[in-house]
Parts: sequence; structure tokens; C-alpha cells
Amino acid sequence: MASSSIGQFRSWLVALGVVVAVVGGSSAVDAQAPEPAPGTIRVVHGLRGLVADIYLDGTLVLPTFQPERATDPLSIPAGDHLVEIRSAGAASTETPLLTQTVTVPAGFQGSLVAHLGADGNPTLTAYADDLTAVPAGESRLVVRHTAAAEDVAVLLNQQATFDDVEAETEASSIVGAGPYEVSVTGLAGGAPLAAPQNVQYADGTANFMYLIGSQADGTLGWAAVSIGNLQTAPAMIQTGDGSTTSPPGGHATTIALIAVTAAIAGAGALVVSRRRLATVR
Amino acid sequence: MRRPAVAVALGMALIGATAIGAVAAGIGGAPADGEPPTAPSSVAAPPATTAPPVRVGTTTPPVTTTPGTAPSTTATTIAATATTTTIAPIVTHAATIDLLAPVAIAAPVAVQVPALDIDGPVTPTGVNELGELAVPPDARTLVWWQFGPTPGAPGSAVIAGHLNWRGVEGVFSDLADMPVGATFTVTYDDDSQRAFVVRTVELVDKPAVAVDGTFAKDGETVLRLVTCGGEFDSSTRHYRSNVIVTAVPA
Repeated sequence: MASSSIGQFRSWLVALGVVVAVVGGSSAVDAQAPEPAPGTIRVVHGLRGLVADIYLDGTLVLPTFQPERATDPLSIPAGDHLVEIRSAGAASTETPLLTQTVTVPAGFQGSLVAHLGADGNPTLTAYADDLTAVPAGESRLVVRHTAAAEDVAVLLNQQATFDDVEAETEASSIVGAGPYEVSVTGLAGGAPLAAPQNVQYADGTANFMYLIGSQADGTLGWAAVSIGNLQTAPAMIQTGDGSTTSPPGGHATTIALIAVTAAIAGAGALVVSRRRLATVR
Repeated sequence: MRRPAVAVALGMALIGATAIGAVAAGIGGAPADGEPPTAPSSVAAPPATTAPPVRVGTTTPPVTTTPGTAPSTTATTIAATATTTTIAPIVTHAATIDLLAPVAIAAPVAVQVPALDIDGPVTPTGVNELGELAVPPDARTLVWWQFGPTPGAPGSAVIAGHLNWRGVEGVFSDLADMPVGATFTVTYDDDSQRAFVVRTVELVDKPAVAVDGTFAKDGETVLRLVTCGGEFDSSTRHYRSNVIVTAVPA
């Protein structure tokens, strides 16, 4: 009896497999179907001290997620999703520390941050990430106030780059690439609310700085996510004003010399030089 | 695709050992349609007496792969339709402020090319107000693009110098004559030195350097020495081309 019902079960599985395959096939063929683009979302864990299990629509997708870490971009279907956060290892039946519905717009590109809200309770906030290119020699700094703290000013090298970042908002600026001392104060200035940090904003990066923790508990600090490959190369290299006769013997000689050099170098380089030679003449 | 699927099946088997083992063993022992036994059957096969009732037909489609939350029969589902049910592990990265800590690198301070009698100091540079490489009005000083790699680090390091400026022969006035295969030396601000060997010498139309990988931040380790060349355009007061010497660590 048992084996017969198991056999039946297997048949059902085979049938299911076929159904899945057919559905998959038809949706692949029907490319016109207006299916909303999924969101591309980084999950950032800004709840200090909490090792978390994160559930998406009832499925544990991020087990043992350490605080102050972030995921690679995850592809999440557009629409409403139920996010639940529990302490790592807690039973899935246990009441979550946080339950929140997150709506992912079609094609959304951003970060979903678990953090303390201004009221001190855990919350989730989604931010769109600006990953457009930055000018040569610069970087993008985005400050996100995701802490249980008052509105803040953010100073780079003692100069206020952002004079008022309200709780649960963000502020963005393009700053020259390089090292900075970053500090955060109340709007009236005064002593730093969190220990100043020495950071490097590299050329061609977007730096997302999350103010996290709790001012009242003395746990205010920073988390950071830096995204690279947004650089712009210098537009030109101009290194002459024609004020001498160099290159010696004039331009034609230079080009001829390059062609000779290339001939020594081999066929690949020769092709380049010949093409260039033709272009110049 | 197969390996992660098996891993899930095994993970499920370990977590719900008795129930899954019973189901898997049952399948293995009763190959209704001649298929080989599924993977879990060889892993966990506890005595049949410990098997709880199997609720056939009440399982959900194979979407739940969460260890510890799925009904026991789901494990069998995963094993049987392996390729459709795995969730790739999600990679996480440190998001602490430390990842922005400044990293000290040895910056180039001089370039010596014996073959061309070049010996020039190097200063770090950025861009000017036009977004072009900032080259100071000193015909004899070389500049290093400080936002790219240092010479010898992965990516394309750039050191540029004048062909001529204000009536003075530039430090790179003879760069186009660089022999392929020649070696030259870069000195760094920690007093170390590194030798490079010339691989190609090219003349490219401006503004190719903006898009041709001359300023690549990663990839192959190359050093590019750049100056101007080709025809001088008297209307723009600039040369139409760049001479680019590409070298690799010797």
C-alpha cells in the first residue's frame, strides 16, 4: 500500500516536472509578455549587534546575516514582498523582530536597509542608488541617515558638506577623490556625535555612508558600501604647443620611426601604425 | 546545476533525517518506472519503523528549499526536480567604514629612459577645469594620473609629459623614438625602483585616450607613457595625436 502511494507520488512529480518545463518553455517563447523587470537590490544590515535571519515571503533567504554587512545586488521580482527579520537560528514560527511589506517597483535599482528608525525601533528603508558615472577625479558621496539620532550635519575635513541630513533621509554630493576626515555633528555643531573617521573616496566610486546605531545608547556609528567602476577617464592629454620643432625632423619622421618600431615589434603593432599612418596623411 | 541540487537534498536529509530517509528509501526500493534511486536514498536510510506517515499529495510545488521549514515530503520533491529548486547562496560583504580606509601606495617620483636620455621628475596630477589630464606649464616635469594604478600595479598606469612647451623641448620630446624592447626605470617615493620593458609604440588620434582603456583601473598591468605627436593643428594650438608607449614590468 505504502509503495503504491509512493509510486503515485512519483508519477505526480514527473507530471509536475513536465508542467514546469512547458510553462518555462512557453514563457521563454512568449517574449512579448509584459512582465515587469525585477528589482536589483542590495540588502544592507545596519542593526548593530543583531545576527539576523532574513525571510522573504516566508522563505529564509539570508541566514545568519552578520550586522554591518551587505549583499551583492539581488534580483527580486517587482511587486509586494513580505520581509521578516528574526534573530539567527530562531524558529520560523517565532514572532519576528520586524515584519514589513516592501514594494519593489519594476526595474528598481537600490538598497534595502535594515536599521533603527528615528524612534529607535527596527525598520526597513529602501533607497534608489545613483550609480551613474562620476566626473574624472571625483567620487559620489551619499549619506543616509539610518540611525536613531537627531538630524545631523556631515563634515569633510571640518567643512560642512551636508548641513542638515534629516532622520531617514539621504543627501548626495560629488566630492573630489581622495582622503577625508568625516565627522558628524548635530545641526548646531559642537562635539562629534560619532567618532570621526578617516576615509578614502576613490575616483569613480559611489560611496553610500549609513549612519547607524542609537544616539541615546551611545552606539552611533557608520556603515559603508562603496561601488566602483563609475569613473570617467580624463577627456584629453594635451602636452604640446608646437613651440619647438620637435619631434626632431618633423612629424613625418616621427611617423616613419613609429612604423619602423612597429615592424620590429611584430605584425599586430604594424597594422596599427600603418592604419595610423594612413589616417594622419 | 547538479552539484548544488544534491547539496540541498543532502542538507534536507540531514535536517529531517528520519522522515526524508524513509521517503527516499521507499522510492529507492520501489522504482515504479525504472528510474535509478534518487541521491538521498544512499545517504540516509533509517529503519522503516521510525518513518512517520507520509502525506502524499499535500505538498506544495517545489519552491520552498528552506531547511527546517519545509514539510518532510518537500525534500523528495527537490531531489526529483533538482534543477528547478535551488536558491544560490547569497554572498555578503563587509559594510563597515573600514573598507574606506585610506590605502598607502608607492607613488612614482621619477622616470629614467637610458635609450632616450630621459630622466624626469614625476608629480601626481588630476584633471584641469576642462576635464583633461592636468599637465603643469613645465616642459621638463612628468605627471602621473594619481587616480589610476601606480606603475606596476594591476591596471593601466599613466605618466605623461610635454613634447614641447613655451619654446622648451619637452621631457618626452623623443618619446616616439622609443625602441620596442627597450627597458626603463621608474623610481618610487619609498626609494624603490622597478624596471619596465616597452611592448608597443603607437600614434593614436585624439581623444582616443578617453575611451581606449589608457586609463583602465584594472586588468593587465601596464604602464603607458604618453605625449603628443602627429600634426600640429594651428587653429586649436594642439597636436592632433598622442604618442603612447605601452610597457610591462620587466
